[in-house]
Amino acid sequence: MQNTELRPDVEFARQMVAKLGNKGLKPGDIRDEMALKQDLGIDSLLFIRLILELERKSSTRIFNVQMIAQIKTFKDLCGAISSSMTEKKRE
Amino acid sequence: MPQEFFNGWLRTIKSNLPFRPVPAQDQRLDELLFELNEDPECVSLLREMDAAGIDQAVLLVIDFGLAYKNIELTIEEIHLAHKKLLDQSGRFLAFSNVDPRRGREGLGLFEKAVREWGFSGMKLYPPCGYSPDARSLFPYYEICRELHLPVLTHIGPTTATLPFRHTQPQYVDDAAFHFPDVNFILGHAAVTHYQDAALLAQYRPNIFLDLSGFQTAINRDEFRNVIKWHLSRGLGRKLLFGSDWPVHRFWGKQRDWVEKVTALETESLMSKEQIDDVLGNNLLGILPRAERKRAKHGT
Repeated sequence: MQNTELRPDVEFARQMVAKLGNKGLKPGDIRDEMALKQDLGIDSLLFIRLILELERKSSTRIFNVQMIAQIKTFKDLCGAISSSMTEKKRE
Repeated sequence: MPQEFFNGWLRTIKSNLPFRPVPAQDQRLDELLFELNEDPECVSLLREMDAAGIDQAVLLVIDFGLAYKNIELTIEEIHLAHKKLLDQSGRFLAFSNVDPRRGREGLGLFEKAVREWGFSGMKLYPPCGYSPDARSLFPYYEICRELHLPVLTHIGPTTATLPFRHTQPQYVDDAAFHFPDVNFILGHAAVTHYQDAALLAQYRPNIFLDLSGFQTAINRDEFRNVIKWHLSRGLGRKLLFGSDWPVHRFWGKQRDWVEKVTALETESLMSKEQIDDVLGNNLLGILPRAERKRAKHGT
């Protein structure tokens, strides 16, 4: 069951995680609490690709070092995207 | 960090990526990795130390002045920048490093750092072009012996713009043999060249193994096996916690790294006493006496 709201940026993140991870999961299999590394198979180098792809798709800078260090689960990833987008709208 | 050092590090990371970044991504990656090193006053480090329950951290000077051209600060200025941090906060210790090819003037700077400026150990960075067993370092080791200062030397590969020669554990052996009263810490060697390093630490009472860089072993799911290797050789009192700040900031916070070590108790791999040793007591045991009184836990 998916818990994160259906938003285009979050849905793209879900697709990318499913595509890059080595667990053979489909986007619909990805749940919020899943750990990127252990559950979804996103190792440290794939994680770099993930954040670069997410930024390329959104054509904006989403991440910074402080934020990246706190991303452990899919929910954390979506939270980082959402807070960055909210910040951008405010600007 | 010198630009050339940084550039070599970037090239290595990029050569290991399992994809080819497009030019815009390539540039963005440069920016993100550059951000890692943006904490000259250690403000972020102190914040993370607080969150992790780390009482003190050891700051390491590296003298790149002979290995690279165009270094912005002189080696004396770099030492003074560290001294300023020591003076501002009791949360830091610092180890001095002067390239031994700087001759008498360099030795004088090292003496001043450890006798007058409060530095409590010596750092070596052999990729800059010298070996830990170079005879030119022996006068430094004499001072370390007199003042009971540990020597921490880098082990293993580094940036692509420096040679890796002399970064294997065996290059420390001759110095450790000639100076049995000086304690040598092999930086990163609890996880890099760890089998050779463990053999040395097992048979040389004055050789210790630093864990910094263990984040890579965690990423590869090798950490538990590496720890088992050391414990099975009786090295629980030779392992020293280190985080290699700021290199691994991308993958977690200081609290995450402390928790990875304390988790070894819940996983029944280490006892509480062994964890306390790794997180501080082992280091306190080899610091100069004054620092032992001051510090509760080291890192």
